[in-house]
Amino acid sequence: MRKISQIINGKRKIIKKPELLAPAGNLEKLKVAIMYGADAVFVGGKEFSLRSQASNFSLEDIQEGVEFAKKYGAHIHVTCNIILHQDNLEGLKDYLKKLDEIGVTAIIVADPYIMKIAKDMKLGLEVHVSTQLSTLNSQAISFYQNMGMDRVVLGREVTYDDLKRIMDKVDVDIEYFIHGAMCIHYSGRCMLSNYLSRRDANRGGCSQSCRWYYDLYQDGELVNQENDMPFSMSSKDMSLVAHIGELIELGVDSFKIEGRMKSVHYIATVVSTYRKLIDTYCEDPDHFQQSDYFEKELLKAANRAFCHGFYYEHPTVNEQLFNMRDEHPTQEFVMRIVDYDKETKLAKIEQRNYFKIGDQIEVFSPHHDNLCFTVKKLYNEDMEEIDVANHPMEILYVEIPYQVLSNDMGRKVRNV
Amino acid sequence: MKLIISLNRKERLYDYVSMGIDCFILGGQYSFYAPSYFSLDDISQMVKQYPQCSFYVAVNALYDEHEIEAVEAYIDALSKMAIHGILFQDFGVLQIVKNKGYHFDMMYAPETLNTNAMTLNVLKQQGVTSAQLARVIPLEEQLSIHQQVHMPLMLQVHGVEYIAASKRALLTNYQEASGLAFDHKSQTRLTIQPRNSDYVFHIYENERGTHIFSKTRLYMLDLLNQIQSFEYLYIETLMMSDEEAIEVASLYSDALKSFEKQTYDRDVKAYMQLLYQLKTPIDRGFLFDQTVYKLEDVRKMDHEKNQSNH
Repeated sequence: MRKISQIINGKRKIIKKPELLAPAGNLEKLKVAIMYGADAVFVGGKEFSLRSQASNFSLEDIQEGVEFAKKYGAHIHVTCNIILHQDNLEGLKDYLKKLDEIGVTAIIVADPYIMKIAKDMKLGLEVHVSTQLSTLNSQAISFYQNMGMDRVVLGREVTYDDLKRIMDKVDVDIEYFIHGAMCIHYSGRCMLSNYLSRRDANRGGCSQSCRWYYDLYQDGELVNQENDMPFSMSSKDMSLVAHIGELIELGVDSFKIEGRMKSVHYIATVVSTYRKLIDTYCEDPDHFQQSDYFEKELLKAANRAFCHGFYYEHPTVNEQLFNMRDEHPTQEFVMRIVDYDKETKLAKIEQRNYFKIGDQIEVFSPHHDNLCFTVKKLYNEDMEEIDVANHPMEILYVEIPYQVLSNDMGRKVRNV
Repeated sequence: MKLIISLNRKERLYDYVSMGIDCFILGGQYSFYAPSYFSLDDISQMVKQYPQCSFYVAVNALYDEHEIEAVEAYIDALSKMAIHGILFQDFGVLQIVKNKGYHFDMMYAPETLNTNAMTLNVLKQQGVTSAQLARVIPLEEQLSIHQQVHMPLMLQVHGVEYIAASKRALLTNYQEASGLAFDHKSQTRLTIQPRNSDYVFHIYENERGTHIFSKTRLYMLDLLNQIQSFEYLYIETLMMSDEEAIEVASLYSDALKSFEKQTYDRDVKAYMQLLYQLKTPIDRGFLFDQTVYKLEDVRKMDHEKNQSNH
């Protein structure tokens, strides 16, 4: 039985705080995720990992990531979650050994052969069962536990009610998705990409063919005519921001955010939002008031509409996207703060997207509340005044009336 | 090398047995998909009526926590019948069988995951006793796996190919979103075709969600020489009419007999002519094809595709 909370000085506090697990597609994102509050970050290696189109990590990158994480008391998980084919077996043991030597905390695995090898090698790293195996029930979890697995990442199809039942029955670590994109089909069981693009979904080549437009035929006759909505199989992104308290009370061990291919701004926004939410709830769960602040924060970086996934029950029409509407984030990432001079009130920044004099900017940070200012003075690196910032990654100086910190981010408030 | 067929109608069992087929996969209450769903009473009757046959029951969905106790009770009920085995993909099913100490042949058939020999050998240590190979790998790899695996393997030789399954009611949702009228509960009437692609898929919905299958039938009628080492050759009768299922079963049954009599090389052309006469769309799936997954290979393939389009 998991002990979730305890009375401390007359007030109930959560003592089993879940791990906040964030994605990262490169070292910059890894560092940002940790700086913005992730307890652990999962990354893909060059070998044996899905998402072949994410900029996967070399062993040197992973090592640098592990060393960075250690400074913050954070952990690195590495996905080794491809389904192996006959020609993928070479080099596996050496790779796992190196990950272990580097100090990776866990590998995320979908193929039972890798599970077995990793355990037989008696490595120090944990072995987590990937969501690619669509694990939905306690008997399947027991199967993996008997194989020595340290954690099971549940399938996204698990409802809250079923999660509650599972948490009552099992005593292995459970990881649950709280935010991000969703496969429309059972993970690991979809071959659309294989058939339509000759790209192997279970080895990282998924072409996301489910999101394409399809014509529907009945008895060979076209159902959707020219002006009708085409058939499509695309889910809105999941966000359980309104249910974090319930999930903490269940004792879920790890909250997973999906999105190794998402931007650094997205990762910073999503991680910092959930970090603040989890910490606020755990500090005083009995007086926690769910506000719309957290959802509004997430919308600043979202580019697809949100839904609850399978949290309540079967997703309905409201949880799918049929028109592929172009959902813009309510705010746009424009700068990363490099440094700030309190005397001159000038911030040295790294520009990311176009902005200009007169734009309203919101600075967000893992260390302070959001601050807003209007761009009044803008200088290039030679301290010449300029009107627009339109060269990404250029170093510029901008006047900010409040103190900001290194690695804070600035986003342009859009008029929506 | 023996034929195994998904039973499409109880009334046809006699015909199949008369052809010499003695191995069947039965759909039931907890099957993911099946050409026909039989009650426990039906299964019990068939098993008693044909004691010379081997029956597998497909308990091959992915099960939610709230139904896993009912699945356990169902397996208990199956254990009281003389069925040969269970076809499954959820390791929860295997765990239940192990906990109970039942002695079914546990055939692991996860549609997409059995793609190498080492993994299957690991799973053998965990209680898997036979397995169906994934369809999305080339024949050469399937043969290589067979050489290295220490348990009986099943290869689909004919029928529509599994493509994907969703727990969601994708057709119902689309109907609601589009306002269009169509028969979303029919197993065979609906197909989808991606725009700018020639591929056509069957799609249907049931209480387990949405299921997508190829419209074309995989066939290996002329490949018995290459696949003779496989223990089970599977005919998927899903989406087939009664007549097609019988004709296909009969063709493969005759081909196997011919193979045993060593006249197959002479007869195979005639069998293929008969298959063509059925006028059902057939293809080779991935038997002689490859998928790519590494970024550089994906780019190379896309480039080659673009070049050939110009």
